[in-house]
Amino acid sequence: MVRSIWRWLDDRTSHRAAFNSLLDSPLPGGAHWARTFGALVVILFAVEALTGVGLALWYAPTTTDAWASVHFIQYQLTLGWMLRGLHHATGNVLIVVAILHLLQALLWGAWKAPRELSWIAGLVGLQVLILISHTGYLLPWDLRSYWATQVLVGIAGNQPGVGELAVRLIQGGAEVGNATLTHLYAMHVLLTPGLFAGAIAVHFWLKRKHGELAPPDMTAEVAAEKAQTWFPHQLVRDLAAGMVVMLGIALWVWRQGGIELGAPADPAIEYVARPEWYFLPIFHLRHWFTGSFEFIATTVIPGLAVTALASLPFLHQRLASRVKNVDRLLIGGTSVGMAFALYLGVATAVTDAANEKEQEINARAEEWAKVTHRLAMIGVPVTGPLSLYENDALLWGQKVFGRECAACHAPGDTQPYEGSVCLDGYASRTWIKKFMRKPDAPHFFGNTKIDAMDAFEGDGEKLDAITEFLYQQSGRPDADPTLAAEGAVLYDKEGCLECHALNGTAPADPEAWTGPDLKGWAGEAWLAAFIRQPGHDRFYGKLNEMDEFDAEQLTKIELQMVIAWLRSQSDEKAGF
Amino acid sequence: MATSDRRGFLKFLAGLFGSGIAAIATVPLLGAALTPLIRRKDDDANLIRAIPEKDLIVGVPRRVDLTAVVVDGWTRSVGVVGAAWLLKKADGSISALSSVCPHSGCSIGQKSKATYGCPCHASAFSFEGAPLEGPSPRDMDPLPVEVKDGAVFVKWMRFKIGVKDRRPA
Repeated sequence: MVRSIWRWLDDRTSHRAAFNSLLDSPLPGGAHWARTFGALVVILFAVEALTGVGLALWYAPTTTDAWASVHFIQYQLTLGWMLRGLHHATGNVLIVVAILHLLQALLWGAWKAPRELSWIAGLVGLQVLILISHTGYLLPWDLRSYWATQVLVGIAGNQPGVGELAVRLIQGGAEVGNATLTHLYAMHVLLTPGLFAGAIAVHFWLKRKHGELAPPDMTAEVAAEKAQTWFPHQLVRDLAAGMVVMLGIALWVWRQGGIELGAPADPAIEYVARPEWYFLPIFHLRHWFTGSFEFIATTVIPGLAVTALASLPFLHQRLASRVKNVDRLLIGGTSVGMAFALYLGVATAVTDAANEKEQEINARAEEWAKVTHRLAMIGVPVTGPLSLYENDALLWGQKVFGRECAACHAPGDTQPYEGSVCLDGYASRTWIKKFMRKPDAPHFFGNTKIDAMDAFEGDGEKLDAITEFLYQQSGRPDADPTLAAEGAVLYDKEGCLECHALNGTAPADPEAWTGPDLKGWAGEAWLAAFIRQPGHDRFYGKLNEMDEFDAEQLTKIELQMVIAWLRSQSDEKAGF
Repeated sequence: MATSDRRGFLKFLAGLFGSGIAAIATVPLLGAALTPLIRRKDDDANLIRAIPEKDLIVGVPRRVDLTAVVVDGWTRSVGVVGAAWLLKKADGSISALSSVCPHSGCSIGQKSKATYGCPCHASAFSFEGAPLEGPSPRDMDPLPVEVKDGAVFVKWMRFKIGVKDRRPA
């Protein structure tokens, strides 16, 4: 049945003859491991296509969603970390293999007439491969992607003449944004892989036309004698090499636990951005050619190198009649060029490894990456990963505090302290005790108009009890009720009550104001009322110097977050 | 070893290696692609605070949008997940009916002083949810409802539409 279907198909397509002619392609000199590089490029590209489809099912190329969707792939999909790790690592190995294939072709003389076009198609393929890889590098939209994109846009913009037009085209507008990511995505998954497939097709077509080469160290007679067919002799070597490489990659990804995802792209976070390894030589050259000469490093030198390689067949023909040992000359030249590129790349890596400041900056970014990974597990806010702090009340509170409050209420370790009351460890037992012992200390009321409060001079036991009473006012669950009850008695006896009423309201007569009412002090309701209206007679009245934070300046939810942060302050934080 | 044996062995090896490479690329691809089938979200919908109890008048139905945190793939937002018709009865008990029509899933509105109606195919329902006219195959779908601390809470659920027997979608 199956056989008859095949026959029916073959009558119409003649696929069997075409297929057999492929399988039986003659290999002069026989199967050879050095021939596996070309096949490896195809195998690894197929792996990239497959894993790429898997990623494309879940990836969203917008600035608000890109990082979030990659985080989702990495941490929420079954084997998503493996999928992304394989795609990333295989892409890099693919470039290495393509370069090895180029070197092998160089040594085997695969560029000599009549194979010039095949050689050039291969060179084009390598350039396209680097484009595929680099556009992919930018897609996760983490710090690395973000800064790498800035660099790319900068380099494109510095090209003489066409620079600014190119930048607008790549960005899809005047700024890096949603259109930039969508453009890069289209380039990464449609345009560049299409071009690469085209380059491979031309390469392959010409290879079929001109036939395989024998190894360079073999005479024609020996090669003819040792000739084998491609199938199965070479195919089994190709697939064995593919299997070894893919196993190696998969094991590496497994041991690494996937490829890392940095903190989300954020123009406000410092990061030492480095390009992928294959761009490090150009990166280094940019230190030598700066300003308007930068295009020499980014375009002229790489351009010359590629042009030299592409014109090799023609140069060779010209020089062959005049120079003895022309092959050695050309191979020597290429080796020097490669060694120079290698030196430039390694030099960058070595300099970076020795720079402690850079390592520190990236270690901080790494810490932030961990925090954002944790926060994103319950989903990223629709406004994008820069709003991730909204997933954590304390982080959100800290952020709002930094924006609205820290200008006056700076951390207490600043010396000499010149701000308002220090809120590090606010309303913890340690903070209360320190405050009562020395209310006019610089980090308490020392720099304010308030100077009427006496320091508490009673013994430590009394201080403990009154502290516990005040601590209990804030509604903290770990307050000791017995000790607090003792404190309540002492609060009256030691004279606190004279100035600090416990009514929860302002005095009926504003002239009778003596100090803030401490009923529910530092509790949620007390703080909410206080922050909205600190100059109310229930609080600091005429001595108030703090701004009022109305709902316009501090939204209801932001107020709640600041209060949550203030109430999270503990003894350890009162370290001033 | 005879040439044909060797050839057969090489073919076997080629098949083995080829399958190995394909497996390494395909297993994670399938894992990711089939995640929606592997990990089905449990029905852990929470009660959603709908409206203060005092805002309901006995015998007067009220349509309330149900707002909850929505996790959509990788994003998280607060939004309307659905709507319910709430009705306080004479004995003070409160019922909630899904506003999704059991026939084709359109949004049910109030048709007259005593009936709900669906605009798509002109189904009409009593305030108890019983179909009075039109093509609806079953009663309107009741939603679990609770009163706590003076507020009405409703659990949002979706049901399979177009069938006679009610079952979660």
